[in-house]
Amino acid sequence: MIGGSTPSHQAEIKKVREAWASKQPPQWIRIHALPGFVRFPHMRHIKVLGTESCATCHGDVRAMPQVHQVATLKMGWCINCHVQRQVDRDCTLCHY
Amino acid sequence: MDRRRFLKVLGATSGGAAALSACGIGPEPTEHLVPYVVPPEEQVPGTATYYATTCRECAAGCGLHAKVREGRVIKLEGNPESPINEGRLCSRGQAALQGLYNPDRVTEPMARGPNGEWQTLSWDDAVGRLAGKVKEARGRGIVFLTGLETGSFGELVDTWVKEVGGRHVTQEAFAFEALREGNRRAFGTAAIPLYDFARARYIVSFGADFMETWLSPVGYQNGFTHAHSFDGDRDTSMAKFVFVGPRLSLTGMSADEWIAPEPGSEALLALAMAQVILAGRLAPAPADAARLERLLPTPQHVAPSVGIAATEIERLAREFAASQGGLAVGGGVATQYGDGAALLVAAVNILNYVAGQVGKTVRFGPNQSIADAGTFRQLIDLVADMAAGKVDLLLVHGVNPGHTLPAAFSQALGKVGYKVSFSSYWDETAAASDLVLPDLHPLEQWGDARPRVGIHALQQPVMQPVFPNTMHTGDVLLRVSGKAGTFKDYLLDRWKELHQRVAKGREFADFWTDALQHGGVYAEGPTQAVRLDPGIAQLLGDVGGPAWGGAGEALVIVFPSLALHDGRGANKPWLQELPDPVSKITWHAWVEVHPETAAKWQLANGDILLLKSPHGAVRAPAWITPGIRPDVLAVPTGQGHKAYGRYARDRSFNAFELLSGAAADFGGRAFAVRVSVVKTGDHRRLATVEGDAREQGRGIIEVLSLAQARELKPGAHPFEEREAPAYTEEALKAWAEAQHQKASLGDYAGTAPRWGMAIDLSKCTGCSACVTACYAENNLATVGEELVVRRRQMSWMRIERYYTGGADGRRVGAVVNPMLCQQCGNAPCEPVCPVYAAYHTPDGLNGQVYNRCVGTRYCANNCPYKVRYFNWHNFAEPGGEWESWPDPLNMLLNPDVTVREKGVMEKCTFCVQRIRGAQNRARLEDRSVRDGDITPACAQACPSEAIVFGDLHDKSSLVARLAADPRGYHVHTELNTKPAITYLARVVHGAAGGA
Repeated sequence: MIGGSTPSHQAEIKKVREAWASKQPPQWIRIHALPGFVRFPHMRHIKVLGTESCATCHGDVRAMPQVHQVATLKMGWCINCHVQRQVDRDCTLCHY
Repeated sequence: MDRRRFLKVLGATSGGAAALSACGIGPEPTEHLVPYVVPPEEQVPGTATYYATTCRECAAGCGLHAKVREGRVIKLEGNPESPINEGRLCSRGQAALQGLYNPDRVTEPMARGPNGEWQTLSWDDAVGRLAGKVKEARGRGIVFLTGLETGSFGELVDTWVKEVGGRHVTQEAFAFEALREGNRRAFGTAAIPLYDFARARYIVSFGADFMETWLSPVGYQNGFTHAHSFDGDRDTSMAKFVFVGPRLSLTGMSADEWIAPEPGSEALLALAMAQVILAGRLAPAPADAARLERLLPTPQHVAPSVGIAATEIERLAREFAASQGGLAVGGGVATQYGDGAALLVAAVNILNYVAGQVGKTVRFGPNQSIADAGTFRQLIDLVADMAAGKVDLLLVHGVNPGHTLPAAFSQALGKVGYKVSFSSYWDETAAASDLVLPDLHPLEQWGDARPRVGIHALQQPVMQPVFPNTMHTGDVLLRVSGKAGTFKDYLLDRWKELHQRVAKGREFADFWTDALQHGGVYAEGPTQAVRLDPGIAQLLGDVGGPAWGGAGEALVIVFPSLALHDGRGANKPWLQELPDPVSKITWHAWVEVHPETAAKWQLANGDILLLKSPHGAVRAPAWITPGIRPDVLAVPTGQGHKAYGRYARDRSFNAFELLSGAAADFGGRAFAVRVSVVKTGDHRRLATVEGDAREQGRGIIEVLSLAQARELKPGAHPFEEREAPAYTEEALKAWAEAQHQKASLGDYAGTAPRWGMAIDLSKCTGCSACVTACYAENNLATVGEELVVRRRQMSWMRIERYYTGGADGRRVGAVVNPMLCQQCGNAPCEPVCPVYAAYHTPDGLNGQVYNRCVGTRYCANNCPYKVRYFNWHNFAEPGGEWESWPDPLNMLLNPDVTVREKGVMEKCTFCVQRIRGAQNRARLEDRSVRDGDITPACAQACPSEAIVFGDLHDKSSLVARLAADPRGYHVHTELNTKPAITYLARVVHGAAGGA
């Protein structure tokens, strides 16, 4: 999250302002990555779980000083949720 | 010990378990995300945007929809609104992507230095240099050589050339001069009319390959299928198609009858048919045709020269007239033997005329613009001028005469003062120039085309240039002539004029946006009446018999390659690896030899022959086929490049080298030549994907005669066969049930969909557009010649071609069958997989989970259809030995589909990514998936609309209706595999040719 008034927040805001001024995009480090053989359609999950459901997988990013991974994002973790909610868990739902 | 247990033990004892952990499971290495500073509008990550534009791979001018993901075009599909191709697209059109992302593109302006080495230079420098040369050469011969340009770019070149006092020559390797000259001699107009195949009831093609390269192949194939497919609901269903020509081409394979008269005597056959119609008053011929009656030769008269019995000729004529919708076409490259080829077209015109069809199936008015292309004679004249030193500055754009006219052009090029190429690739002509100013690819640039009267097709950039240091040739010309503005402004001015003509009263902005959205402005040109030319009587005197004496043992016909065209496709690996629809050979050229000739010369497939004509010699491997006359040989165009990038260079031979460099009497080129043949004693393995040339009664193809097909009652199942004895019935059922129970997931009772497909063999022509579509959609690797020789190609969709007839006096024909994963209900591949990578999905697919696959290949061994393909190498490894997508070709990979690794089995998934995409969309819109929501890539591309996909459990779906058609059958039904693909038997006029 970019915002706030502490020096570290201000430093982050400065990065964004500089990027805008120089037209050079800032580089972000990717935290939540899935392997290339997995498809995860965000829209269907948001449709079912609601627009406030980001935290289900990403954690409460708003409260994180620096974003870190809260869920393993491994297949067993995905399947657990699908089992609990009794939704389809066919392989070709995600792997194709 | 069962197989799964066997593997476990093996893993524990020999360390083989490493294979499982090496599959790339786990998080990817640290990645950086680079966002846009200002995200472009219309671009949503993960969602495709479609832009309408126009295909420039040949002169047909098909409409395109370019699918763009994250700013990159990843797939081309036909634009359903374009009247040229009606939403369909051929292999060449789809492979335009590989031209765009070609790794051997010229990336910046280059000039030849003092010692002949290439140096890069800036655009300012390059434009300045060109302007200087133009000033120097003014009045000393400036020539601009382009392909056929029917739109604003052509006008700009015309204007510019006029300003600098030069001339503009256009060139197409297949420019249909015989067709134009024949029309001029018969009707007094050199225009090329619209041929309405969809309305025809009886089609005779005299060597016109209208499904391959003839005029507008996609549109004509679509129209042809409408006329020629079998539809039990219609009484008048199914026109008859007769193909006349020395070689059974792809077009000929769809014919009900293939007739191979003496080469060069086709005109006599057409005239004799016209005579029968006229003398017998079989059709309402126009009044002015009556005077022809005495002049036309009778069947008895021509029979000896044509080599076909007079009664046969009479029969053809009677059938043609009785159909009341005859359409005869001619003027294809395969019958453009040389002098006199225009007479064949004139004769075909007379046949249409006396049958009263001109104005009906042959319509002048909506004329095709290919008639505006320069003739071969004009090119020869230019070459003569060049050789005589009369050309000081030559500019070449969009053509490669260094390949199509190899010797003469290259020699003459040496005498030209300064040569400038606008090519995007290092082709032969560019390599021999002094200055190369790389143009943008057509998918990156503005432009327009007028493929036929009434149709104004627009071309827009669908993405940012792949190589930013390339420039639109239109912009270069404007800068050289010191004019303000870009080519887009110039184009807009042209379209403002068009707006004044066709849409006065509308806001221009609306008109323009509309045209951009729909790919252009479409109107149907009015039909014009034509009359027989008074000089026709004299023309008939010229028609002689075949005159193919001369030196040499055999007549070689040079025919256009469906995939490579005149050679322009050779730098695209999809087209190189696309098996030729007739020969099934990839990556190299061949010479077709009849089995009788082969026996006489003691040849085997792959024996290399030296063919020597008066103009050149080539070494060609023999391919023995019943689809050619015994006294004729045939070679395809397209290969044998000396330059043109890594995929094209030094591959096989250039057939153009055999041909004469002189123009024939109709202004075009002779595509046949007499050669002497020497058996060299060398041999090579053909890179073919053919299994067996004959079907051998294995139940892969089924053919019905029209009479049999009409008699089929709904609910009949003539092809149902059961090889397993009745007492095994119970056991088979129990086995199938056990299989289904074993899979804990899924609902096999019928509430979940069961995806299925119906493929109508009375529509499929074998054109192979589906094959390329599959490569594009599913990230299929091209493996190269060496691996194809070892049968390791990856094409999930293949077209099997089986010859029929030939014995017992039956005519030779061919039947094609698209073969892809049958998604069996009781699949042999599934139970043998030790790791459950091959398994059955609840919606009836044979799933293949790549990240689970350990590569035992048991599944492929157990598949009776041979539709599983194994990754023997790492085709996606950057810089690897077998790399299939060298940068920037990797930009065309479909992000919705996994790129498979070495050691993984893969196969057709019914485009499961499209199924899941449609299901996602439906769920977001709170509805269920409707019939027609999902179209796999193969069905989408098919110019014949032969493939239908849908849910077999939904009894109202089109595919369920087709699956219950009495013509339906399953391949290898006796194996109890319960395939999801139903083939509908091919229907032919006359007796069904046996396999």
